[in-house]
Amino acid sequence: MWNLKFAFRSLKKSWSITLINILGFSLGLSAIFFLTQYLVNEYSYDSFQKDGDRIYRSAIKYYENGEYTGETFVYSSEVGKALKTDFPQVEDYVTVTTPIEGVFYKIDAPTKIKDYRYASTSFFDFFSFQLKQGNPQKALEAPYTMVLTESLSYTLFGNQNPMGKQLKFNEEMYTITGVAENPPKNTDIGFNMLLSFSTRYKQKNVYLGWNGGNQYVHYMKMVPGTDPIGFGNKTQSFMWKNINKEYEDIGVKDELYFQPLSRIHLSHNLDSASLRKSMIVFSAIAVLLLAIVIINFVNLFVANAGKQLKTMRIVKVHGASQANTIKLILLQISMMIMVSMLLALFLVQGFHEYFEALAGKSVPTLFESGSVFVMLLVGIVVLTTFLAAVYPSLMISSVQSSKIIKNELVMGSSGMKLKNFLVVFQFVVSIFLIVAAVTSEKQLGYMQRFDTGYDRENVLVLPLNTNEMAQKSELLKQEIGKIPEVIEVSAVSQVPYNGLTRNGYFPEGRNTPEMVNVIAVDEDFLSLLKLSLTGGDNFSKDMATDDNAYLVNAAFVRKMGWASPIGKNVQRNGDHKIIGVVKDFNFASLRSTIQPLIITNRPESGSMDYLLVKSDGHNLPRTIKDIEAKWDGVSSKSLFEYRFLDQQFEQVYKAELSMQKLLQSFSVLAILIALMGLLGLSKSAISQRVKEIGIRKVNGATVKEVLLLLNKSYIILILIAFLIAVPLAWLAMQQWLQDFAYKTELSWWVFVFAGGVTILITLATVSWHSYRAATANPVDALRNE
Amino acid sequence: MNKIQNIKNMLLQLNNIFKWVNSGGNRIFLLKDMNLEVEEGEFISIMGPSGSGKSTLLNVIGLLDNFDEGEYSFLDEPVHQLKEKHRANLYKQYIGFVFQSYHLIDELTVYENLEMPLLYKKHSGSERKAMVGDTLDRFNIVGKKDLFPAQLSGGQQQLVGVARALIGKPKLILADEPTGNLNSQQGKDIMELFKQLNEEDGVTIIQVTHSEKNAAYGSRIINLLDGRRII
Repeated sequence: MWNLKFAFRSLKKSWSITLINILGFSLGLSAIFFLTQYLVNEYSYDSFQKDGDRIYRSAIKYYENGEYTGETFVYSSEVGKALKTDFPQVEDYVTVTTPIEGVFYKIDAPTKIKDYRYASTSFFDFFSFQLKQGNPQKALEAPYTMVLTESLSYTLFGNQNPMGKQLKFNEEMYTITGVAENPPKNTDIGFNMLLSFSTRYKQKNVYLGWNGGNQYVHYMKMVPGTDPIGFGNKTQSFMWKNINKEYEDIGVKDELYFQPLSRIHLSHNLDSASLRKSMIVFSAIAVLLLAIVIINFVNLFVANAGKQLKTMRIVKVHGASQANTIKLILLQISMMIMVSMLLALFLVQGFHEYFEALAGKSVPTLFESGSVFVMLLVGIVVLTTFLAAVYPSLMISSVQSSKIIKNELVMGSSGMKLKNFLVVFQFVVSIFLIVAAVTSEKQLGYMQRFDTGYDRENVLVLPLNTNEMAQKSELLKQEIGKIPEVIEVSAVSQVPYNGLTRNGYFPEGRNTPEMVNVIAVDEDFLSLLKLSLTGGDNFSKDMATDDNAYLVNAAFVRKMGWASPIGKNVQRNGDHKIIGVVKDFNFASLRSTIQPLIITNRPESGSMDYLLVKSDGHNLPRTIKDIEAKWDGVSSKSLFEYRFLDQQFEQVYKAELSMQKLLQSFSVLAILIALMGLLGLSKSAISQRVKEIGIRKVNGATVKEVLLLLNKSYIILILIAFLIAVPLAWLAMQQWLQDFAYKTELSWWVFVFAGGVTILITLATVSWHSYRAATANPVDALRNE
Repeated sequence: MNKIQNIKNMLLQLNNIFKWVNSGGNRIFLLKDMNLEVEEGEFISIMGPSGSGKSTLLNVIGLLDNFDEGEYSFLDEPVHQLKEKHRANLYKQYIGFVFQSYHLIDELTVYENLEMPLLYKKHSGSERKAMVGDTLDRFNIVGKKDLFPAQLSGGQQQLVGVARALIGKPKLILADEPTGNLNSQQGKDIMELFKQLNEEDGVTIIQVTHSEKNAAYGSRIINLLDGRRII
């Protein structure tokens, strides 16, 4: 009780430094807490599925002429069912489609629903998603049935019971047979709506076989004790029987293997590599922040310990042991940490949305985070308290009581050295983070300004999201073309900004298929995006022969090694003559170089999926309204949507953008915390030198000279930090830039800028105290003694 | 009173004590061949110019500092052979300190400052309460018990300092220029208090002082110069 009272009053006495310390500590902790939430969330993907250790996702490795060419987990439709039939090791399976969006009609009102999937009957038995209403065994059995999530049900029907109600999708009626609890955030099998897989067999134009139609994902639950690798090896003849014997002639082989559920999210998804990279960056930032926060705490506490030293001596003279004094200091430190902790918890909850926006994805809130997070939280706090408390409590408690008589309160030189080391460390981190933030900003700007070879300004993208609209695309195109502000309209199968579908083709002179990117466009595509031909001709409506013609890009010609490509033949479901060569443009992201491309004017699905509309940009809102009017004129029941091509393009770099924002925020935070510590440090450093300053001034030192004297030591520390940070930052950034096929340079000015900013801000901060000390009347300083 | 002075128990004895520091190859003596006997109930003043070793001697006597050579027995215990813990116990039990700059803890009230030494002597809560209450009474500072040091005059602060030194009922009080920061009237009051404690309670007092007038309160004066006793 006495201890507590004493600790509280000591903290209150030096409230300004205590406040600075708590503020810096809680700011840093809140960022660390959030990063921990993020990391825990990524690690916990699908860990809630019962029997998770027996669940595997089937995946395929492609071989061409015995050579491994890639792999996928999105495959044809029949694998799951066939495996269950043929192998006793497979206890159960679920087949789902990859999540897509579509327009559904409640009576005649269209609603766009994101992330709907087809799922086979045993979905709710197999996974641990819960049904609020409906029978988990039967809900997805009959064709044309569907299950909604609670939140979707609420959006569509409010508080009404949706069971038995119907939605229309592609001119068919679906009956709602179940309502599911909203899936948690940490799952790769999330959904807003599930349609029964049996529906697939009733739909027209759906290929359900082994040879194509790759949009299905299969999960297996193995019998306990099954070795997934051994089992994978046993599927050779199974794959031969079902698919590989057809592929043998062309030298292609598909090999089946199984991915354990626990490793899917971090190792086997398409974005796993970039996710792991982000996680490494985030972990590093969290550790660095933690280090800065602890260092700062120690620095501030020790800098302010002059009073404490005196008190500890008095207490020791009166019989306190070192254990007693350690207890006193520890109590103060843990009180501060407790308050900071609570504050940090409030901050992390209060700024959750902001943090989520920074991370670029949804992360569970404090209350949604599970026990692992709580345990980590406790761990962090214990570790932090320990690290923050060890040095100050030992240093302060080990004072010799005999010094009390001579009243010596100056800290030893070892304390000074440690303090300098800690300050240098903080500056190294700050400079490093500034370099990283500026470089990533530079790379992002570089990519956004990069000349991708096509003109994306004022281009609207209209998804033809219903069958009806897709079939009427020609009419819609003509109608929109009549609007005076519209310069050009073109129908396309895909929008070329983030990669395209790849298909197998047999170019003239090749026996094995080449996987080549393909896009289907009409004759207006090239002029709309200002793409030029380097040889040959564009498609035209007049030429009947064009029906089977292809355009290719220059990269395709280079890959084939053809001197004169015009007139060469490419085979895929018949012969196609090359009639023109298009100048290379970046149809995928700038992470990769330009790949070979085939441009056709006949989409394989039979219809185009998007309209591109180029306008003059003078009055976009009005133009969009006019387009919508035309749209409704063609089909009043289709949902009108539009996007801007240039915005879509920027979306591709979302991961980089969020990484960049995160780096920026955290470098600002790190610097802010470091500066807070510096403010406290310089205050205490100067208070120890008041007498020296007084003597110097009495002997004729000017304000400028005193300022220089006081600030010199900080400049030296920053220079040392700069020398350490530059090579580290250079190496790290070099590494990071390697991911991009098109990259900016590591400019020297970025490093100079980082160092300069650090020096300027630091000087401004320490001058706050040193200027006051330098301009003070020396008589006051000396009389104080 | 007479009875105490007649028995003449030996409180402490220093025999040939040396204490030195090494500086740049030279050995600088802080205490040189120091011999001193103190009997219970004495009131001794240590005098000498700055740097003569007064404070060092006080630290050695008060078991706060070690020495390099010689023998020191306190209440017949050979201090130089004792373990740290035993020495700490001796010290806690028998010695109280009074300082020139009071050394009260600013964050604690008068009451809490008095209670502080008792915390480290394993007294129960109710014992502490009784002892602090008695001391407040005795020094007439009951009305000030909830004030903080900054709210007291220098003389009042030193009064609390003396009260704190006495609360554990020590046999020996070591005072390092106890009136150095006080004006003459306050200084006189403190010296009178020492005299009274010495005569009425039989507390042994060793004080370091620069003032002949204050030294005269004592029964014996020890003069130091360059770490040696003179006379």
